[in-house]
Amino acid sequence: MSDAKQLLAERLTRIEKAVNLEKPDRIPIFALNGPEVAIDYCGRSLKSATWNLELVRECLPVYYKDMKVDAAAATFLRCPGMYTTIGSQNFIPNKDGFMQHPEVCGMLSTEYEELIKDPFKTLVEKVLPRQYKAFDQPGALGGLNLAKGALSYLRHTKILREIDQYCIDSVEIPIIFDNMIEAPFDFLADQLRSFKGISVDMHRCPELVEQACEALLPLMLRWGVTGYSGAPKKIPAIFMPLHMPPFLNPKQFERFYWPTFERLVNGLTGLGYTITLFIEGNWSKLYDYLGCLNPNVVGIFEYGDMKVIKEKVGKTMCIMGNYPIEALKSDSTEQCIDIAKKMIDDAAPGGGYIFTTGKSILRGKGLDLEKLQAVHQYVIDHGKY
Amino acid sequence: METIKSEYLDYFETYAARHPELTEEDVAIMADPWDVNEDVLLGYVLSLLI
Repeated sequence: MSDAKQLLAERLTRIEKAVNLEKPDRIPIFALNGPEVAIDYCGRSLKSATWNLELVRECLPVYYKDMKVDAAAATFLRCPGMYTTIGSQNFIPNKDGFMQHPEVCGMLSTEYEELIKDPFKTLVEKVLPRQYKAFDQPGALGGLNLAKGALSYLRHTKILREIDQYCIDSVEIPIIFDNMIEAPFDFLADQLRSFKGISVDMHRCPELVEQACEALLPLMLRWGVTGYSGAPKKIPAIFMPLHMPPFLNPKQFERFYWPTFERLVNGLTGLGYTITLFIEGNWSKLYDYLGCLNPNVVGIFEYGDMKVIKEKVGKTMCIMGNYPIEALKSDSTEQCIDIAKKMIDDAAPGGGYIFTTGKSILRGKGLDLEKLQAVHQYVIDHGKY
Repeated sequence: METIKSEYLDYFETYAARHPELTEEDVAIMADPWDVNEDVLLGYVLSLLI
């Protein structure tokens, strides 16, 4: 086996052991970031890169290698070309090409019954034309634009997967997330009813909210399976960012969020997939729920006390995240390393731990990435089991 | 695997039900490629809303 293949295999084994709640040779380091930071790091223009993905191919491997990471997520980049040509209302580029997501409402409260009866038809006929004006054209034109958009999406996705393979081949970085899905309640809240809309609906029409989540669950289950590359495997995992729970009270979480979320996660892990949850916001009141999920779940925590998280969910869930990227902006290198040291002391004992930041690093501006390199070097030097 | 009931995704099934002259062989030939497209369509539509 060549040295490069050996390195790739070592990194993959390191991650797999942590996901299996075992002790690897040392704590693995995961790169939680979008390609935008790699573009910034290499001094290239994001606006150019979103139109010319060759720049992404050039910059990502450099970033991964310099940051000394063991693994990364599948490349995910929203490009203005894909969105502006179909008249997107929900993803809009800012001046330098970074995509912004404004608060949008794609479904009216009077359309719940339709969504519950035929969710996919309602998404295509009602929601998409509101969020993408090119689909709201008379006659065959709307359908034609949908087909053109789908073709563009397929081509774009193919190039991103080629970039992933290039990162694997050129700098031996395994890609440990594959496709992305959402919990039914998050899907309903994010772009169908909006944050404001769903907050009102939980009071005015709670039964319809419950039924809508039930109606959306089969779509998410099926998308989890059909969007995955090949047969179910432990690695790469299916990625699921969780949005709304920090804004729900415990009763609302238990009634609206948990039932379909639990069945989605347990259904997919039951089929042999690993699910990586990006646990956004503060979930400290909800750790007991997370601890009830079936094994083969990885949790990336944005906030929280790692010691408590380890105690509450660490028996069944591989944990990662929580390193505060704000420290890279304001703290000294020594202080940044001290934070990592405490985090390792709290979370690493017994295995089942992957080191990464609590937030996805979106941009390089304002952050001192040399401090991140120093932190990662500390984990490499002192994170041996 | 989840079966999703929708006029869009079950287009062929709906079409076949309206045309009893189609044989099982016709259905088998036409259903397969539609199944592939169905997943592509599902993935595209959901990806625009996530």
